[in-house]
Amino acid sequence: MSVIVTGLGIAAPTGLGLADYWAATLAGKSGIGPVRRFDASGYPCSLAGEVPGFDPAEHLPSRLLPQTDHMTRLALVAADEAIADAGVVPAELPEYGMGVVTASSSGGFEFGQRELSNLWRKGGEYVSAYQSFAWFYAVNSGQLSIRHGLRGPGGVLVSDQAGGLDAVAHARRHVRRGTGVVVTGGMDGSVCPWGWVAQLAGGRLSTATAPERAYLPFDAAASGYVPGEGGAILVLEDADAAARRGVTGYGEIAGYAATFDPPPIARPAGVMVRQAGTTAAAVPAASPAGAVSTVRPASMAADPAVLTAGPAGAVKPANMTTSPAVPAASSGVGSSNESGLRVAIELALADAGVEPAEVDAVFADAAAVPDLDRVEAEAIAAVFSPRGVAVTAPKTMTGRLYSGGAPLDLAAALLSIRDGVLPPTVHTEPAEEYRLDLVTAPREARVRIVLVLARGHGGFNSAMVVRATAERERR
Amino acid sequence: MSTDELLDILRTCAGVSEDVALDESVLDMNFAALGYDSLALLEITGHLRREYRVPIAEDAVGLEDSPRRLLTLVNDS
Repeated sequence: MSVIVTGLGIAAPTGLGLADYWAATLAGKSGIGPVRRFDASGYPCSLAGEVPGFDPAEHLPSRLLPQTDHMTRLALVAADEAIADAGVVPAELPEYGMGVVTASSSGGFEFGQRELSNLWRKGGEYVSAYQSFAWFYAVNSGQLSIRHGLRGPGGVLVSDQAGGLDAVAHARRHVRRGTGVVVTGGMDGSVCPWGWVAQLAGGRLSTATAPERAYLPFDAAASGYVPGEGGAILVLEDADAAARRGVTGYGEIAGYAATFDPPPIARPAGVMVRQAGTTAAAVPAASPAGAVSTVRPASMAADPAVLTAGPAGAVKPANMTTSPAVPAASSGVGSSNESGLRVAIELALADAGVEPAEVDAVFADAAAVPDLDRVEAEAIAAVFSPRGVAVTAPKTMTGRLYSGGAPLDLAAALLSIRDGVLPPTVHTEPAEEYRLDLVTAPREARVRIVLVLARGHGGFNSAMVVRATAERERR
Repeated sequence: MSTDELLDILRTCAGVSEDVALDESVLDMNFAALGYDSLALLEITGHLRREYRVPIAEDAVGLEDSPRRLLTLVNDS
């Protein structure tokens, strides 16, 4: 079964709504600037990507306002856009015919900070009743489910930036298992003091104060990233069912794989790879993915694929419904330069049945941390040959959006397919050593197959292949 | 407490459903018909306890009760 994206909704620092976002993105207009949501002038990092011109009362019923954090409001508005874009009317579907799986990385921190502050300063009776869920990391899936009556499978995946792809992959599983329509993607936003210090503690934020010098992936001057708020919501459907109502969609979720780099102190094995729910292969980990992090696997639905996402070191959920051949590179002992990310790329291409030469572009994870940039550049060069594929990172205009980042990249990839143009990576002067064909100005190209990469703090690597719908029909 | 004050509290704590005009005409409707849920009532009674020092229990009003009943409870307390 082919699963396609039929609806997109966007709330990004580069624009609220699909049209504004895409116009700004192709124009190379960055949404990064000094933090506006709170006074960040006393903090070591003071830049963020914030969604412009967002007045929640303009978009949402007032019943929802007292009970929602900023990032949930963004998710609700983007989901409204995505569902309308898909032309789906949830009320017309069978009761359990539509589900929701989103990614999250933190939760409603701005709301949570306010209520914890009330608790601390004034006492328990001053804490809002809505705190019971408004700061919970699963809240977006819950609120989307309630608002649209999505009573099919529901869940949330937490694996930092990689989660945005993991959630979409899990939504694809649900469609393949028979849920007609699944709303997915991710939306994050913790631009508040509490969220800020948590992000600072990660140690990867840029301390630059000039927006055009702050987030420079694959540049010799790379010095960390700028965080942002926003993301994208996607509507996934079975291609044949969509075709019956005359919808071809933006493109197909053609391939996916995830690997995990264990923390350096947990010695055994290396990268654990799980494919098709049956094959487990271990290959050495070469990725210095960083420090141990706390992983909070979560699920609102008892689903074995989600529950396999255990604490650090465990196997990540992978594709349970297709059985592509596992490439030789990952079937046993690999060479020392074979990172978990590279294995994820190879497995995702195999899942899609795509050869590296067929891939028109790669949307990079673009950590802007030199060691991580090197791992990614080497993985891309190893699979596609040096300068063998166009690579871009439009997230240089938004900052890294955590769980919202990869869904936004998927949206951009699908729009690239639609319009035959690749969005640019801004401000970066690509370093020679990475041997990347980095797209630094909008590039017109025939775009049929795109690979999107996303890594999460603590060792998560995810890769997803999207393909033009017409390409599927040609095959 | 006046009717308008109470309606303002409802508006602040729980918002207004899209098909409801929150004015005096709703005083005798029940909270469920106004689109509120138990959590909204928790938030409203919590607000009355904190900001108005009204000794009102969390479960003093239910979804089948009306704003008028809540107003009476507040003013009789």
